[in-house]
Amino acid sequence: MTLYDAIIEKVREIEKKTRMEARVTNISVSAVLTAELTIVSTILLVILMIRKLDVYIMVLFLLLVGFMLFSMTPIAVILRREQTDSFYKMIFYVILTFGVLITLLYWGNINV
Amino acid sequence: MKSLIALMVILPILCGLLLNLLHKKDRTIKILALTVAIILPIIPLIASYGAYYFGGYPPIAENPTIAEYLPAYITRSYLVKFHPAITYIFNSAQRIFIFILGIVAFLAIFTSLNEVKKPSGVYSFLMFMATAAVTAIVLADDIFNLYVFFEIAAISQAGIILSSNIKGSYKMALRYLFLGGVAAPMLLLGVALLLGAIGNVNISDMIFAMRNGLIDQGNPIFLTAAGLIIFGWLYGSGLPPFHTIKSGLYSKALPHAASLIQAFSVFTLVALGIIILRLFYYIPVVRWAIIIFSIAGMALGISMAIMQTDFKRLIGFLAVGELGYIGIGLGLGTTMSITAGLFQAVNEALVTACLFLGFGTILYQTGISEIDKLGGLLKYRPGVAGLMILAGFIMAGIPPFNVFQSKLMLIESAISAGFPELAIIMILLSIVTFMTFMKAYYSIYLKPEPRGLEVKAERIPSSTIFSMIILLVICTILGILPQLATSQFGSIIHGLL
Repeated sequence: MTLYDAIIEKVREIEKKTRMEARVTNISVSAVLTAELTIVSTILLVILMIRKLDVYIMVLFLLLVGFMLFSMTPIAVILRREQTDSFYKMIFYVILTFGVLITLLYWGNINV
Repeated sequence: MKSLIALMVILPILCGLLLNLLHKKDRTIKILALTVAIILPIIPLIASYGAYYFGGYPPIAENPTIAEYLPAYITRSYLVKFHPAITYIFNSAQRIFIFILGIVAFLAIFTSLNEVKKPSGVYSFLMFMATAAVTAIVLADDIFNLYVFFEIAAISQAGIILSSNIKGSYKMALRYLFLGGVAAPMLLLGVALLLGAIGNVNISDMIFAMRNGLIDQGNPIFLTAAGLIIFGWLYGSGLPPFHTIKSGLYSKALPHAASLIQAFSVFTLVALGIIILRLFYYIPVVRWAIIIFSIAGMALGISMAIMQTDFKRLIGFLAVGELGYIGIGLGLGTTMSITAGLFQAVNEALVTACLFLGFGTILYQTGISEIDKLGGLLKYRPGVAGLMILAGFIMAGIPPFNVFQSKLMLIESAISAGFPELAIIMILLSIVTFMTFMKAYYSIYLKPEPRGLEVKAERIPSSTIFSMIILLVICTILGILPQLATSQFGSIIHGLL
């Protein structure tokens, strides 16, 4: 089974789970692949930026996120499933972000 | 002419209130709304630069008559420089922001009035009220006044969605208000912490106190205040985690309203972003937070956009994604990057408004927003399809248009600041933006027309086409002569760095 087949199968499986009615077409699969590559590339490039703070932390993040990406692919479909109009999901991510933002800012102190 | 500074906010509020009272008097509503909408972009062009003090109370240092009767321990202290009145600051940067906001508001109101035979006074009231609120956010030098107008803008935007009469608009507007119920109080708490620590709500006074050692800048209360204000900023602008609700909000608005609401998001992002930088520039982690949220907005917005099957949602996510470029410009914090970010804001407000109006023409013709059910529309109105592709090219950053200039500046500034990764991310996401637009364009205009698709090309209002042409002309002029905009930002950047 090629990687392309594996991604299509995963897309179908997730769409079945979430009862999405949209057809799986060439355009929709290309769109998911593009989104997948965009997100993965962006995450890896952002991790490279951590070198400005500390190279060892960057390597640690790279290994951690690399393992996560490897085990969670395709991440774009999961992100799409999470970013729906569900109010519960929205409020969950709002509160999560708020917690992380305040914690990091307070922990980061003014010299970082 | 300094009284015109206040008029930029007061006039649309007064007009909105009158329109509300004139509900059902169709002709009067149209004449009044159109007249004021035309005046809105003219006022910033003729107003003088400077500060406007509500109540006429300038700082004591600028008013020797009052200073004469005050004791020496006051006149010799820093107090003489503090602003006792609610103050609005109007400089060249504010001029261009309010001018562009006025243009978008005029075109949105003009299109709205031409679309319907019986205009709603209440609907027009909400559009004017939100425009006034965002203008005040751009002008305000008083952080509490800014918060009040921030709330008014959020409520007015929810009201515009509620009035759109689109399926699901009620739910979306209420969700936006509920999420605002979490985010806006956090912004207010941040303002309260600053007030508690400094004892003043005037932003210039706060910065004066912080830079002149009147208070301890290392106080952790400032970190918490920064976090809370950044959280409010994310809500107002629609960056993650608020990107889903913001894109949903755009998709449930009428095309002209969506074009106006996205301009509100852009200018709220810029105005509040500048205030965050002015107050907390000395804290590097704040600039990091701005950059990280901006990248998240770009990556999530644009990658979600390409996976959408509904073009209203697609353009909504694209609009949110493009906001990240502005945030990166501000977050990098160099003269060039901030100039590029502010220029991108002006460009984004124009081109996204054009795209929302353009995608609206498909709704007028077919009443369908699902891409899979559309196709072959090119043959019906090729002129409109031509305007659309032009708008798509502009948004993706194709030369010689304005967005190309601002994105190029952003990429150059990221490399100069020592962040080549950011430059690569911006180039990558520009390519994906182009792909997303071309995917939608192909599905709507170029692929064979599906059987049974009913197209009524004559339904496109001429006001929509007029508005699109005006916006594209401004984009082209700014692309050829970018210095018309970039030269205006010097004053604001000089005060920041």
